[in-house]
Amino acid sequence: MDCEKVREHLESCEECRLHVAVEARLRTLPVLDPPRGLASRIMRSLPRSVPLGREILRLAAAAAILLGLVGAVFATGLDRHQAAVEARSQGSQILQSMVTTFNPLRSEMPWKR
Amino acid sequence: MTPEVPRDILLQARAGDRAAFRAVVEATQKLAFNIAWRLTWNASDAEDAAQEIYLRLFRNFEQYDPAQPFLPWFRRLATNCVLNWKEKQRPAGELPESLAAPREPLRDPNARLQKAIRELPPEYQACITLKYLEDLGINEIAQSLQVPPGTVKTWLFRARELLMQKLKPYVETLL
Repeated sequence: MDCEKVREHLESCEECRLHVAVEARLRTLPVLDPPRGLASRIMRSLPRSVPLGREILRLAAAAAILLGLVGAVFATGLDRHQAAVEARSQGSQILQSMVTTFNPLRSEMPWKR
Repeated sequence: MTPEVPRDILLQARAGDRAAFRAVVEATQKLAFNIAWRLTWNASDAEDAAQEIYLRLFRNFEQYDPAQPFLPWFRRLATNCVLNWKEKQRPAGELPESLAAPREPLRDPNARLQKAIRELPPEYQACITLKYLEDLGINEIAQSLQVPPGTVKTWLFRARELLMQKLKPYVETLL
């Protein structure tokens, strides 16, 4: 079909004229340049931190380390507490044995009466 | 129009390198801005939407599979992001453009065309934008929107039909 026939058809056919017009308008819509400084504004608008997924992983790792440390401190504290209880009971046992040892002697010291 | 982003830059940006990310922004900002503009038809909105695109890219870069081409993934992210951004900007209770009451008639043929495109369903707008902005083929659009090529053909056909219906009264001014 040559150009002349196409033109004749378009003049007589509103449907095809509309189709061509819409298609031509769509193809010639302007392509805009982005505003100046857009890349800088975009970079400034980004969060300072790393992406959230990685941040969560990092926080989880930090929390695990912290928990470990707290656990270790707590366990050491318990040990100390137990040691203290044991030392106290041993001390009181020693004291008791001293009292039982020295009390008869005391009774034999008349100047103390 | 179609940008080229070196693979090593993409991989560095994906790993969190800000300088590489900036290089990706600079290479793709024209595409992103024009996708945003053709879905909003407003330069200020397009800039806000473009910022939203890169914020989403920054947060979701790890989801990009480096074994696949970057641009279809980026086009999809950009298109979805702008359509969601538009939906969020619409005040609660306000009707979508396609259902809103008509305003005063437009004289500029391009403004008429833009209004007609704005009134299309979002998936048709996305198809028309990708088709005519970069002159993409059916398969490339399908890859970008993650739908079968047959669906893209149908959407494009219906989008053109709707545009022709809306613009029929103005055919002489369009030529």
